[in-house]
Amino acid sequence: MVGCKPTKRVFTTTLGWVASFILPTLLLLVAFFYSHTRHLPDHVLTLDAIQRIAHDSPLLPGAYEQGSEQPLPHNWAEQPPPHDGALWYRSILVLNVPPNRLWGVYLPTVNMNAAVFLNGELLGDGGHFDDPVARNWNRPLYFSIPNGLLVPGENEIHLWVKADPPRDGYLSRVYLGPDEDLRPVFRQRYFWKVTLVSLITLAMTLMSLFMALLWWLRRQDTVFLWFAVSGLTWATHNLNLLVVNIPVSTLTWEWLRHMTLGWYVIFTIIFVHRFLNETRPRIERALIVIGVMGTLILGLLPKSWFYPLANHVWLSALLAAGAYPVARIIKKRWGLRDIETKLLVTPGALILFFGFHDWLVVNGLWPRLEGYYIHYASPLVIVVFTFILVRRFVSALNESEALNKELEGRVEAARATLESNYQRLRDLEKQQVLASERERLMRDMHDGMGGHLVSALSLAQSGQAEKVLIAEVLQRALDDLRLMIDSLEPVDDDLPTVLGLLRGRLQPRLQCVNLKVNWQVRDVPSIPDFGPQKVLQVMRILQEAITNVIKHAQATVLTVRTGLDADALIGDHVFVEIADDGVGFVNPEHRGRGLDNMRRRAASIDARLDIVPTDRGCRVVIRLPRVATH
Amino acid sequence: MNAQTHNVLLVEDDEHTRDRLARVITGHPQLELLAAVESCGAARQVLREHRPHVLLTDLGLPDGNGIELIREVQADAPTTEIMVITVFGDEHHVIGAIEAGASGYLLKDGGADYIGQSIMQMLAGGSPISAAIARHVLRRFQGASEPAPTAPETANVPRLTGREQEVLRLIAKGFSYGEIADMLHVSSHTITTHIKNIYQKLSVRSRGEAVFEAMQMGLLKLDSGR
Repeated sequence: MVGCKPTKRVFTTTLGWVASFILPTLLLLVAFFYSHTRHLPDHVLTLDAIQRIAHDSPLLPGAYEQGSEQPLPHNWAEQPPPHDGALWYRSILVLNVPPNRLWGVYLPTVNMNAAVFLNGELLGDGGHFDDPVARNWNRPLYFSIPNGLLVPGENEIHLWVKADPPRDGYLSRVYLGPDEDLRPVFRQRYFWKVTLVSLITLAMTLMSLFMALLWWLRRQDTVFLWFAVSGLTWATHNLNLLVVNIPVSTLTWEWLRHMTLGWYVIFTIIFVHRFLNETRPRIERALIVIGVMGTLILGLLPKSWFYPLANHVWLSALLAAGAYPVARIIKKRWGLRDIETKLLVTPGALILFFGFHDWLVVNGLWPRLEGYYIHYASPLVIVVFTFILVRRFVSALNESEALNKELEGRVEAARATLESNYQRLRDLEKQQVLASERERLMRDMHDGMGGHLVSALSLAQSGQAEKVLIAEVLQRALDDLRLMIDSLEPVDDDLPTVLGLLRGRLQPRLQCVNLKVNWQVRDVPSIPDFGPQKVLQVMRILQEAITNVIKHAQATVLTVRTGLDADALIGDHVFVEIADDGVGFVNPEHRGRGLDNMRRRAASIDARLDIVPTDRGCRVVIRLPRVATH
Repeated sequence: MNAQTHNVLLVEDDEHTRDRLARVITGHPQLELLAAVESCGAARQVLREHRPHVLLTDLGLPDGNGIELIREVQADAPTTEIMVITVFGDEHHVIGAIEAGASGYLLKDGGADYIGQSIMQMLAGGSPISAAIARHVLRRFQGASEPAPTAPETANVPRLTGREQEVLRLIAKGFSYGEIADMLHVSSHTITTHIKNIYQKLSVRSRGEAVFEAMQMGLLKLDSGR
């Protein structure tokens, strides 16, 4: 039944699939057929032949009207049906003793409607006999026989059956028997034919609505949309099995029923395409065109053309079309070895199989004993799709968890990379800082101490210089070295700290010459970027200025003062002032080079240097900007 | 100042510097040169027989570090005043020496007057301290102004008083003892006492830290008794 090519490999790998889907299907079928072949108790009377009366009036025929023998079941399509689609049947039952229990009449199948009379009394009917005729074709009928109506001897039973179209007319065997034996049989058939189908239809509707909601929330997954559309079309089509009193004419209803079946096949094909991720727009367009054309043509045809065309051409076309998606799925199934596709094969094949059965029945090629089967394939569709959805949901959860983990891993890796990059950058920066610091030290050593050492060396080599002179130059070299060491002190951008360091260095010499120091150092705001470079240059300038005072100024008091110049034009400046009460500028030649050096150094750190003679002595002022200049 | 002379042990490995310093000491009226040696070993030999008033020592000596020598003398002869001889007076050397027990330092290239004055000042109870060293001492004691709850063993490690911190801060800004005394309206002698105390605290503190570390390492036990 299910496209089986049982190689050993497939058997072993799909054992679980067989166990979980083929077996339930078979069980379903076995249960279905068992319930229909159930033995009836012996004392139930079975009418397997009846008299057919040529009487075309809805009134009960009289006893004079002759009938012809008709075996049951009676399929009207096999003989030319009555032109108005109505037929009277009659049978005589001979009872030896009247029953002392409640009896009933059971009609498993009648198309479309029947009324039952016993001994001239109406037992009941299935509804309307006018157009639209009540549609009892898919539901068994059961009528109780009032006590006392059955009499010993002959009893006459009449059945009036009406069908639309007449060709579909059908009467199964008729059963009479005790209510307690017959009614359970009727109930069971009613369950299979009506209750179960109602439940299936409801489930399919709910599932389709659920799928539609899924699609609404995830528009990119059109597979859900097509499932919903196909499922709802199917559910609509199933109304044909359930509705007795239709709101439209029988012809319109028959047209609707064929159309819903047709569109169901079309939508299912589109759905299978989406499900298999196949893009075949040409096929889909062609199907829709065929669907629209079929809908219009069948809708416009007269009654006499509609039924043969719908039953033979349209249904055959649908059956052929229905084979296509099943074939696609089976083809994919061998190729992809994807569990979902495999699972779809079973319901697909079952639908096709039942559809084929129904097609045979409709075309009179198979006894229509039990009616149509195709709707019984739906539960499997629902089970398979529930399973597929749950599986997808679970795998999506797993995937997102895995993705999250992977993402976390990636973030961690990226963080590590970033960290190592930063580390490299920091190392580079450190190297750069070291390099620039080394460069600065080289420059500073060359600028100060190195020069002094070279001149001391040349003085010593000349052999003519006085020792005192050489010692003085060496002393300057040593002083400069100490300044360089001090300049490496962390001074926290604080000028007084720098001055404190400098005073510590110069104090012994100041004491030697009895120069009194007036230390007017007050706290001043911090100086931005007051690093070793600036500190050293400030110290050198100040040391040069103070050394000049010691050597040449013949002063008695040296004043060192700090403060803040608030200047709107050039911004705030922190200043340090060295003032003496000496002789002012003397020997300009000698001092010239020293002053040039001081100016050059001040310029290199964006400081302003002013050297001004005063009434008594000289004043040197260095101004350091409080805002960093770049 | 009494007229008594003080004998000096000089440890310096550079011959010229040693000679020059020896000359300054010999030439000073109140100082007497006990010995001028070039190594720790030689110094120890002298110290076995004598207890000099003053020890002048270099730090980088051919057979060891002067700091060890200072520690030994501080332990064996606490009355000996110790001074370290340094080229730069940089805090790394000087602070280590002070922690070991030195009371001051001498710049190697200092003139005769400066050297004589410095030694006499120290004998009179003064301790010279430079701006750079003041800053480092301040930093050393920082965070110790609050008692550390996790280390009760360090509770008896001395902390600087507010006044002592103030004095150090002013020294760091270049003010002399006299100027600081004027600013704080105290005598110059008071400032000298502060500095002496600071030196002592520094030395005690370093010993305390050594004890604490030793206990941490399990080398010492307080309850082991004697």
